[in-house]
Amino acid sequence: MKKSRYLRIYDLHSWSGITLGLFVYVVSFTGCLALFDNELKSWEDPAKRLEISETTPDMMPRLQAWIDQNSQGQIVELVNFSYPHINTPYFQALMSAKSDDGKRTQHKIRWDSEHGRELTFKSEALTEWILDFHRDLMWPSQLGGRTVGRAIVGVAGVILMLSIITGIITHTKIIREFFTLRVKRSVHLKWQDLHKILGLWALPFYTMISFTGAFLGIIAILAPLAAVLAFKGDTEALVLAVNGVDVERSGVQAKMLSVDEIKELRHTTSNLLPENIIINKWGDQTATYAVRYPSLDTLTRRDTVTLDGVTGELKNNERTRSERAADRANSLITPLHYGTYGGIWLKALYVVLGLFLCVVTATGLMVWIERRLKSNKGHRSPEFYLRLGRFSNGVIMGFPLASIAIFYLDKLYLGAESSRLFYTGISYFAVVFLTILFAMLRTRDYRTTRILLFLCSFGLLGLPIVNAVMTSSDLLHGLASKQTWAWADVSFAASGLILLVISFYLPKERSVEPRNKNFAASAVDPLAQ
Amino acid sequence: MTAIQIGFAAGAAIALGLCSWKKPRLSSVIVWSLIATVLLTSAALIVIPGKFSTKAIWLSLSVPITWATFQYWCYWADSQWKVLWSLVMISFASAGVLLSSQVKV
Repeated sequence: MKKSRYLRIYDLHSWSGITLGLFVYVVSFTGCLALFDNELKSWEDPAKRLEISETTPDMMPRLQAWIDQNSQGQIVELVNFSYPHINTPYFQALMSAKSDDGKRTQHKIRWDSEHGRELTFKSEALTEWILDFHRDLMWPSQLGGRTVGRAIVGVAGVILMLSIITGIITHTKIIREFFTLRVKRSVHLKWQDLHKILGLWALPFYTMISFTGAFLGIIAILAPLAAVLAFKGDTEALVLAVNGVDVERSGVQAKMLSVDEIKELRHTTSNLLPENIIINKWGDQTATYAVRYPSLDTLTRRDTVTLDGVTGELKNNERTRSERAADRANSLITPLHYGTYGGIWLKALYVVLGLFLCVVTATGLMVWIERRLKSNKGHRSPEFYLRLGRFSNGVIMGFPLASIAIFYLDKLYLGAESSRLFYTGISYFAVVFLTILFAMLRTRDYRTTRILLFLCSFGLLGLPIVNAVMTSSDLLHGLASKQTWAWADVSFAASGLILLVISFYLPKERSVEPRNKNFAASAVDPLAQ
Repeated sequence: MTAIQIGFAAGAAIALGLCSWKKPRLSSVIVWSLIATVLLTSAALIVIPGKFSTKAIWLSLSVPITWATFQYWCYWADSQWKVLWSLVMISFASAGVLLSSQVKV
């Protein structure tokens, strides 16, 4: 390759990493937590720790009474009824109703699986924040809402794809770099080797996660935009082309098929029991039941069987439809991105590889700063690069600390449930901001990192204790009965211990490198002079 | 279109023109690659034969790859003007297809 072209590609790799590296780090780190959405829900909400009763009550009369009570004078557009299963061990119903003036209201209820008694709701602010911050940054509605946030996260995926392509091109000695880690050389070389070795070994994973992430993100805004352009702005024609003609309500009332009958209806292929039913046009003769089955052993998200809501006649089997290559490819994206197709150990592998990606972005940033500090490449003062390094340190440590802080908030929060999400967000950003401030104000970077790592480790070690005290849960009993929340506690404690060991072994000061004594001495503390 | 909208669009067009003149490679990688991706995908939805929902899925899947490829091309090409003009021409040609054709469902 020509030298000028090589330098251009290298510049693109550097600048895409520098301008958006921290953003990719944030998306990647939050993604590691978002993988465990279902597992963390049982840690968050004690109602999810209930055992599923073997004999369940008849739910149809309860569902009917609840819908009648809450839909007075309104048209019930959609009902989502869930059966008890491992992640939600209770019956649950969500209803969307529309009044004559077009105003939509939503209602939610859950019943225990043994007696069908109504259960109180606890806001799922913790897991909602963890998952949605990764998916759409909890983007405020005043600035365009979640779709915009989702597209911005998708851009992180495209930037990562671009960094991967340019990174591969700039690695001229790729085979040798696979096995080169010079731990006894300078800090700069150590970071550079770590950046390359972790970048290369997990390359297939990064490629997959960046592509699926980019697709899930930007598709929310670009695909509709492209389609609207193709239809010259006629969105109704577009909806018709994508979804087909929807049957309108007939206005004739009819008795609905019992949800208790469907409960035992096994899927013809997987032989699994249904997880939930999406009921369209409740109470009308044209009602449909989309019965959704889990699909744990394949890369298909769900198997869906559509039945007539009155007669129970089979209308459509989604598995047949998903055998088309396009649908199949489309349905692969989410399970591939969130690792939902292979059990908890696959998710653990995703976390390790996701954390590698965090290290790759962080070391890439550090190498860039270090190179400008050491050589005359940078156009700014050394103080500027040191401040940039400290800011990056604050961000890199701030998000893990903020994530731990909201776990504590979940257990110690005393306010109204409706405000829980708001205070979760406030606490999250407050901790990130304070950590950045702390890192920027301190001049001894190695000590700062050590202190922040200690805080993370103690925070993680304290979580099982807070959980035990606030929910009166018995960890040993939870482990014996294979409860997810108990394994979450064990994971917190184990992660805390690992971080504690790392914190102990982390050097307190940067070692003076023989060939760069002058630089190293000034790099330690020039701002303090 | 209101006067404010026209003013905003004209301002954006002038700003984009100026940026493209001053920094062709940078404006190509940030703006023109995105515009070309969206317009090319929209035009492909019309031009490529087949069932709309199927080609919509395939083209949606291709959007991130197309975008990243255009961005990469911006820095691969030796001439900064060549890549800028190519992306502008792709955008205009796609817009022409969009304006002159009707999507088949």
